[in-house]
Amino acid sequence: MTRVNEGSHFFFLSLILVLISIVIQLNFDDVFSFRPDFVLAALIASAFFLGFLELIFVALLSAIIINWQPILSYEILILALWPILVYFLNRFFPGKAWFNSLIMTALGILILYASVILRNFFDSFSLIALDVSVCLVFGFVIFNLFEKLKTN
Amino acid sequence: MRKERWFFVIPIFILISLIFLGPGAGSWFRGFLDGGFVYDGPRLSEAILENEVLRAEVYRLEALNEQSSAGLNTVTASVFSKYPFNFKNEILINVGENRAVGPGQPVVFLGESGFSLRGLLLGKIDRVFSDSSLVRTIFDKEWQSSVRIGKKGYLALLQGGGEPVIRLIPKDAKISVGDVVYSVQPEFPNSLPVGEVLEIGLSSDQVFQEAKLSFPYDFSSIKAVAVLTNND
Repeated sequence: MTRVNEGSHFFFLSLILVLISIVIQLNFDDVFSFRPDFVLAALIASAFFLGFLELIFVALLSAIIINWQPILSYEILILALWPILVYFLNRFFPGKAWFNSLIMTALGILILYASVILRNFFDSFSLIALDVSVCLVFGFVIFNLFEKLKTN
Repeated sequence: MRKERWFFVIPIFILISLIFLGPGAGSWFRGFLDGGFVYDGPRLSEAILENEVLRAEVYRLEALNEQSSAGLNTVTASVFSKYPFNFKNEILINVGENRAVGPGQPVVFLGESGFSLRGLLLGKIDRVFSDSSLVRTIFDKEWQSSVRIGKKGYLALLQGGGEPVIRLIPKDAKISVGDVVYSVQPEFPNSLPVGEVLEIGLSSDQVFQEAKLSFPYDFSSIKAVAVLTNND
């Protein structure tokens, strides 16, 4: 079992980090011409520190804010549900929590891409690799912020 | 602890209801976050845009020697939101069935003051909702449409993407940087300008020429567009 803490005192940190992630994700392409999945990375890191209800709240709030159309889509469902699934799965993971969070971030991004562009999945390999790399760094930073708060 | 947990139950129910009953409810907040740190890149020069439109119009009249843009209806719309991930390039605009917008209709960028000419092709209506529509733009990887280049009107293919490219240009075609590229897609009005040739090279198999495009607008800062609801 790799759960770090189930206390709700991480809630506000998570909320702030996810909101910051949304802002960065939505505006990243103005400068770098692509949009990394920072929100997913932040939610997955949060799944290792938040309680169940707190995580659901943050995940649903992110989904509502980031949704761009009046209907639901696979992307939004994966964004909301994958971190919740990670919350349940992570107690079965062996190894270090930070490493598991990175694996789950990479997996989540791959599932997100596969759900939308399965046909062109391999054509977009360089873009996916770039997205995963950037999000792993971002997720690692977020995870360490939670760790810092925990040790303090 | 339990009281703290109950504190989340009601907001969670509200959020779940919103997700299923009104998934667009967060758009007002999202719009605030989306526009918060817009990179103020090369701003639209209205003169350049007008010049581009006029040049395409001249080509069109020379080539076709007919037709005017009279009778063309435009429905102006604000951009609600943009697709938040990498895979597609879509925007949501605030007109839909309520303004007789239909799938496949071209969407153009009219410039900041919305002058009367046709504007630049930006995309087409993909899905229509009661009071909004989803627009697939030329910056989407799946976008493909027929175009002509320059005065001679060489036929080619516009391939969408982060950096749209003109493919299948005949190898002997004499095109040059600055030539206007205009759409000849059957379902769109004739000679709707798309952009200008920026860079010319050979395709990987050396059989055709390819060209990168430049646009006189910054896509990320577009706030308003127009739907052409009545084609030539």
